[in-house]
Amino acid sequence: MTDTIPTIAALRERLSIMDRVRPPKGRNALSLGLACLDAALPGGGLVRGGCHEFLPAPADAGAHGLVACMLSSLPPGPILWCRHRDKGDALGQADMPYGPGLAALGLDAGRLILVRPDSGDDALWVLEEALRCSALAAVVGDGVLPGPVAGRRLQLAAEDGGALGILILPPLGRPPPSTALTRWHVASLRDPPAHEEGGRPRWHVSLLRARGGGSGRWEVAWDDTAFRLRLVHPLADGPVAAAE
Amino acid sequence: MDALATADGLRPGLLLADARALCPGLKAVPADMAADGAALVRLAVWAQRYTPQAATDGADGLILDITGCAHLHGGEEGLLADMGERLGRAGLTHRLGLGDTGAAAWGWARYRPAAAGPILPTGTRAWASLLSLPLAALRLEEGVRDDLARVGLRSVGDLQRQPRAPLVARYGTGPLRRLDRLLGLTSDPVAPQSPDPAWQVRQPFVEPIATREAIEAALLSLLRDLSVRLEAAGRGARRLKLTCFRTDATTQDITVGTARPVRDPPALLKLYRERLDQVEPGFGIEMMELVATGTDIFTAEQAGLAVGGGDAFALSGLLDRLVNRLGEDRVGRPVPCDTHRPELVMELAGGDGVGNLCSLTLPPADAGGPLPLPQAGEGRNHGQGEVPPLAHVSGRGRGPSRKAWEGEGENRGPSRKAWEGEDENRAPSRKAGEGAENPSDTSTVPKPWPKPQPHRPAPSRPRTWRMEGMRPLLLLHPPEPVQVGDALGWRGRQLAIDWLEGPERIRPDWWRARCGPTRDYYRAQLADGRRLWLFRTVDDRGAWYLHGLCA
Repeated sequence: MTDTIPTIAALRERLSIMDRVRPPKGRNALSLGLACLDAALPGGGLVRGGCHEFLPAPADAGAHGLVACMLSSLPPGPILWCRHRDKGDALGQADMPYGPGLAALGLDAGRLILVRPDSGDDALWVLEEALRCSALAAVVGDGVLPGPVAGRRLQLAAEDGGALGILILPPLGRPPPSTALTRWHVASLRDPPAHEEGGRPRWHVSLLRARGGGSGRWEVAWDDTAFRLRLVHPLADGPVAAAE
Repeated sequence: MDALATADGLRPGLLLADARALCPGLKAVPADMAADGAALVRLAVWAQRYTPQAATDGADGLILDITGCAHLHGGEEGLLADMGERLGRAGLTHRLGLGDTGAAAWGWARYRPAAAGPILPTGTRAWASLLSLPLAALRLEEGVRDDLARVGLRSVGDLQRQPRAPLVARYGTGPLRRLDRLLGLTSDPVAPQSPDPAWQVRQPFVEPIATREAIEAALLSLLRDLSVRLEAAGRGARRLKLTCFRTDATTQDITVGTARPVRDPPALLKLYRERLDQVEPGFGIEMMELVATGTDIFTAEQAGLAVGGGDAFALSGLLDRLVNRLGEDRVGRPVPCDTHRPELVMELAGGDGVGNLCSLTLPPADAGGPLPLPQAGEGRNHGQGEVPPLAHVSGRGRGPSRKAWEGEGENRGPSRKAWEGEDENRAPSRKAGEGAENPSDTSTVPKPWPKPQPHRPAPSRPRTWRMEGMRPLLLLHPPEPVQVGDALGWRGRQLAIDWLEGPERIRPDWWRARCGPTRDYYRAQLADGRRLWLFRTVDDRGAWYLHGLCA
């Protein structure tokens, strides 16, 4: 169906802004740094004022890496990183985001406020409070799986505060449906060893769901000389690389 | 009333006209009772140099319980002499008296015979001395004293010899209670003067309270009282202690801290709300006391007008809530630390650093500058020129694995590097399963790095964090023991290794004793694509550990 009547088109646009599918006028969504990834999202990137979910593979730091890459291009401002690990998580309870590793992906750890709550309930409380706070550039919930009600609360809090909400879920095979704006799956990919010009972070990124958008799968790598993501899928190299 | 005035015939209660008639040169000044009281409180605090049990006593006296303290000042005589000398030097007319009870000391100081010394005689003579004091020494109310005087009782002894029951019937229990205190038959405790009662408010309850709503309401009223006083002094609270006195004579303390001085009662109540669950009222709380144990000068700021001012307020409020609910050690800012040990490189500044957390509210606006890659450049230089030829082996073209500790230890000379290079650069990169190094690798010359051409907005500048080699994104602490052979044995599972890169030798901090063995770090890629950060201890055991996950 095409919108031949301009009024209806304008109404649709207003609705999509209210649904946080598109950023409000005059504000940009956070670009992922790759044109093909941005193009898959109706807002042209990650829209602030909502939650975006990243599903990692078990005992894999790929999702953390992609999130760090994206946060590095945020405008200045503190980032609250709330880390919670349930007992029985594959990684144990003692891992944390590591400053030198974040710096290698372009994210200054000095911007982070690390919060380590003891329980999942506390973690959700922290996230809700933080998302309501207008002073933060982004809020990251690491290892937190909100239920349907908690997810909706987080979404509303993010709409209040206008911050970018990012949830790195626990590694689950089939996570429950949620009200988040987008859901991604990130898994590490094999890269050739260093002496074959490899050894860089390389991930398989799938967009599982996006409100008002489609889905897709890409292979991306972190270019540690240019400090940007680049597409490495052999089939996509030609036309998509040209579109970048 | 000093000796000079008494000699002129003046006495308290005299009309000003009569006094002027008696003493024509009299100068009259209106009495400032409040200032006198405050001065007396200051004097009581000063007197705590002799004993912690010092307090004001009435409008014109101090009382000190010197039990167990007199020997520190040379006994009772020494203490009195010292006190008399210091008071005299301060220009204060005074009368000292020392007795076995508080009431006896009061009476002895004021009404002892002119010939007697300031110390009440001890033993049986104490009894006789006290009984010979005039009735006024009992510190009775004026009406009762006059009544007793009218029936012919002039001294303490007169009263003591009367049958008690009729006395109580006619004059109440007052005179006998004072008498018993004077003679040491009932206790007469001293309530010490608190040195700084300024930021303390308390509220006793007629009926003990136990519900959360009641506690919150009482707390809010306490906060309002305190806020008024803080506002008058131009200060805000940094640390508050709420004490709940329960009916079973136990107390509970709840302390909250703030990142900046606060005196807004609702904001402070919000901090306490997260913690009120910890209060166990038991059979009820009969009194609540709120003390600002730390205050700071409150600079009035208007939220919203200053650039980013509203944000600073919002962030400090958020951090206060997080810290007070989760605990100080749960919230922190990563701070780089000068050490070689990877697990100690990142420290969390929490605790009192919460105030510092607010300093990152407004980062400098220079983050849009050119792409920062100075560290990468440093590493390349090492790889190309400065490192002795011995260290030129493959895998160092990308250089990251050696860069780290080379860049880190600027104080190490090249000579040091050379002998370290002996054993550490032998197998920088090898395929899993291949035991020996690949000879073709060793001839590769490191390529110069391409000039960075930023295509997108520059990332925020890593101002303080050095990119040191390949560091993991998630650090496991403590490291987990693993087995490395053809496959990686981790938690009972065998994972196939794709390649192993390294080693990067990280020595313990030489300036610290007993920091564990030297470690050789490797980066491993598993067959499923995951990249891990492993190390092997350089000692007899040669044990392998998993220390982190790389992106």
